Amino acid sequence: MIAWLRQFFDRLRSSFSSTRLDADLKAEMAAHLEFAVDENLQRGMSPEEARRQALIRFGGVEQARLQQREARALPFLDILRQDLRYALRKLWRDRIFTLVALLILALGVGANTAMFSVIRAVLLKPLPYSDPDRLVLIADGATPIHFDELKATSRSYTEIGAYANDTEDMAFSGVSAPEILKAARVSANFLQILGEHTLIGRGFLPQEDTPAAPAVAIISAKLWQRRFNRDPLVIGQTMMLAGTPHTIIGVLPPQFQFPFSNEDLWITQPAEWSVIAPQGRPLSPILSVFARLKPTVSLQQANAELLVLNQQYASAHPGMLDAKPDEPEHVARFKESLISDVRSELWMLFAAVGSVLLIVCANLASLLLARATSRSRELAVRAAIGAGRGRIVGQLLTESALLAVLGGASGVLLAMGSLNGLRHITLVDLPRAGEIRMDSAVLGFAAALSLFTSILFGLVPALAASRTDLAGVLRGSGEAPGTASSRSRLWFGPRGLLVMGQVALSVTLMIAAALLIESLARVYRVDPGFQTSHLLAMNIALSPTRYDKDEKKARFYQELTERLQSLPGVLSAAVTLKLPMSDTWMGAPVQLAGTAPMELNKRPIAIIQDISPAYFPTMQIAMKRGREFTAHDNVSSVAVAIVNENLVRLFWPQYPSGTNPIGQHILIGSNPQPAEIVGIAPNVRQYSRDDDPKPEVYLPCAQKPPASAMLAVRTDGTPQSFADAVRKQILLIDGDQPVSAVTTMDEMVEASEGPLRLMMMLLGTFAGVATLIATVGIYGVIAYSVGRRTKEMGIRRALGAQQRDILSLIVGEGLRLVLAGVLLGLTGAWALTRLLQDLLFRVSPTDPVTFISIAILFVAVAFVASYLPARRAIGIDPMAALRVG
Amino acid sequence: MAESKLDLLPGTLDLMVLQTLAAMGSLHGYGVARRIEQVSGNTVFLNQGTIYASLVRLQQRGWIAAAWGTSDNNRKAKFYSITRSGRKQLSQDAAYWRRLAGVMGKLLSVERGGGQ
Repeated sequence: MIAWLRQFFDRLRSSFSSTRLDADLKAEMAAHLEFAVDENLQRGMSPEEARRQALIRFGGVEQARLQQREARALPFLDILRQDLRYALRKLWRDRIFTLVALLILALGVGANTAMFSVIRAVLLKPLPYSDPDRLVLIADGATPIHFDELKATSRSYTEIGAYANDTEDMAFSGVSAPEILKAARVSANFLQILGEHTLIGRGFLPQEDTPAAPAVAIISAKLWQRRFNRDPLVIGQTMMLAGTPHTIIGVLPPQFQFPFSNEDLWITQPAEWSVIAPQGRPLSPILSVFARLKPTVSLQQANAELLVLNQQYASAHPGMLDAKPDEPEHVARFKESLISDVRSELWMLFAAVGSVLLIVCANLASLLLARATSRSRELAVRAAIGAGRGRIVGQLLTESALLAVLGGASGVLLAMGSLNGLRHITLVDLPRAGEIRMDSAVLGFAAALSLFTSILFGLVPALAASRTDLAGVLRGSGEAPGTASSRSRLWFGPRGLLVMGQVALSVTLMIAAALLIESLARVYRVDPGFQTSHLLAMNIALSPTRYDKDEKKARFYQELTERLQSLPGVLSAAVTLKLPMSDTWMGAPVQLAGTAPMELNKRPIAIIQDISPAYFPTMQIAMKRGREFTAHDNVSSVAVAIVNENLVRLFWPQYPSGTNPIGQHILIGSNPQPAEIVGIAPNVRQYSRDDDPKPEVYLPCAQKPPASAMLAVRTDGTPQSFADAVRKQILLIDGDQPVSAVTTMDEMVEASEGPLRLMMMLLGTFAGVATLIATVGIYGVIAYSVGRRTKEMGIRRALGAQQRDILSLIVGEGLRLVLAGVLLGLTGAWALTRLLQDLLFRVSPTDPVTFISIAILFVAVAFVASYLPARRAIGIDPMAALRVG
Repeated sequence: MAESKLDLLPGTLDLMVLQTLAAMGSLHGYGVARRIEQVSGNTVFLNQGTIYASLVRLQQRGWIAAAWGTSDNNRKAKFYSITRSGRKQLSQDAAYWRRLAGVMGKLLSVERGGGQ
């Protein structure tokens, strides 16, 4: 084996040092002949005879040289090298063809490689934790009591923990540049469950997960780098977070992201999520419960157990918001729950880029077929001087493989570039986006793809070209390869089929893209219920220690809004718990006061907004009835509420007629004190424009000031240009008060439509590229057909066919070809677009208008693409055409 | 036709070259070819040029080594010599040939005997 290998490498080496070895051999053979001549001379021969005899005894010099060369090297390598050199020369000569082929190949391979690296990182790769298949999510909206009971009674898990459903904003103060950090609240055992370790320092201890314990924090590697300059002595230091000193006990590795993707630090006590007021926390279903399955327990067993436990919980606590006896929850693999939102979209995009690649291949195959035709004479000459069919096919395949390798390499470069962009896409919060990278598997995929494409687009033309009618071509009258016989003229043979396939795939992609575009257009026509332009927005998180009393918070908000409204250029300013178009909203169960009390989980959920008096003018929302809040609605006055029309309809279905809701009272959350309805506001799209408005309750901020809030500032100019002035006013009130997420409402609206916009952009691009390539394909095949039938056109003209007849003949052929593809594409779209259903907005997946418009579009494209060659056909001079051949 | 030269069976030339180099020490290509012709009493049909394919093959297998040198009559030539692994191979191949030749001899004589 070793000897064999050694010999192989020796031969390989020889193949690459051919020139030197040939010179060596030549010298050796020359010496050989001299020895023989010397010996013959000694025997008394004449010099001529001596040399003649020496040459005879030697045998053929050239033959011996070839023999030796074959023995020392790898003959197939020599052939390959020859083919490669020839292919390079050939590709260089047809620069335009090569450039076009490389360009579309790079596009096809690049898009597929980029998409595959996303699919691999997000969907295929196991989560980067030890034994990730045993990591499960048990509940994603549990109350603290529910979590405690699950923890105490479940037997399926080695370890069970929880995290608060979202990050919370914590002001990092006491430093030169205070800022707001994102904190994830997790149970102390979260690292044990994941099987992860800190980079430096340690994880949480169980006793640190209690309210009495001193506050500790684990920070992200990013924060460690950004604020602490990667100083290992950071362990044990304290940082002022939300007004409380926290001891830093550990730093997590750079790639660690759990449970979200943007957290700066981790703190304990998941149930104490500060976004909810302390008294509301025990009743709020804000915990995600996750666990590690015991090795002996299957997912099914865990599920069976959870079903029983949840039923017991529901009967023990019938009123709790997370008691859902009718909607059983399931144990899900953590990865599945993480990616369930994006899975179908990603596969869909992958299918779309795959279609683009198929179109690319079909197109290249067409191009190569056409090229093989124009090279038929060259190939015939090669065949005539003894090249076997295998050799010719090999030569042609070498050319397409070379194209594929070059195109694939450019595609990989393209993918690398686009990945950098892809990672920074802010339109969607793609889970695991940080794991997207070009690794060996992705490169292997790209290599396999290039190889696959080269075979796909190279083999058919190569086989067709090698089947040449030798004598005919050389005579100059022979039919070129791939020529359609009269029988297959209707479909133009293989080229026609290729075009049909391209058109079908393009039509399907176009319809999908058009449906998304139509959806987005309809989303744009939705009135969000407020004026989005000229609004500046930012987050404020007040320190719970310095703003420990409601009055203090209320005073801060009041002073802030007053100061801002006096700024030049600011029309009005307000604070609210969550602005519309934020990625989350707060909800609470509501009930009409004075009716029989219902369990909390039976009451309808309404969005809760704590707003300052100027909120409605700032958002430019006009009240429907009643009044807005004023400065007099404060802690000392009666509890009041403004509700939206959707909430009104919940309790007073006859609205706007019937009982006047103004002056009625409602119960909000677990608060036993009812609030009086003083105003009715119109509906507002709270989450995004394509999300239906929900019932909503506005409460005066002065009566229930939130610890963290969002600030809205209506300006008379570019909102972002006011950001610094606003920040300065905040620091004037409290020099230690940072703000975060400074943005504009227009940007928030855009972000809320992220997934739809991204899908539309990507699918639209793919569909556009596909259509462009397919159009070139149609043009190519018709132009080729016209070029080949010059003589026929000439005869037709000579026999009296008018220009109009020729035109309609050729354009008709083009249309026939495309119509078949369009029909195929419509059928495909009909079957596939329902996969888009979730993304579509007020558009049916089989929207007839879209289907018909795209069909018409393609017929028009086909018309233009075949009209141009047809024009050329009319221009044919019958006499000239008939004289040829 | 009884006087016609022997065509070489495939593989036999390599063995002849090895044996020649084992017996004669360092030799150039012409020397090897001449030696084979002489030893065989000019009964082997050898195009001297074919020796070079055999030499490069043996060299790649590591059985012989080559180096440029100067001959007795002051000509530059490439000299070949057998290596240690070449000797091992030679003894193996020689033993194989002897056995094969013996078996062939016996077989052919039995055949003849049976015919009588």
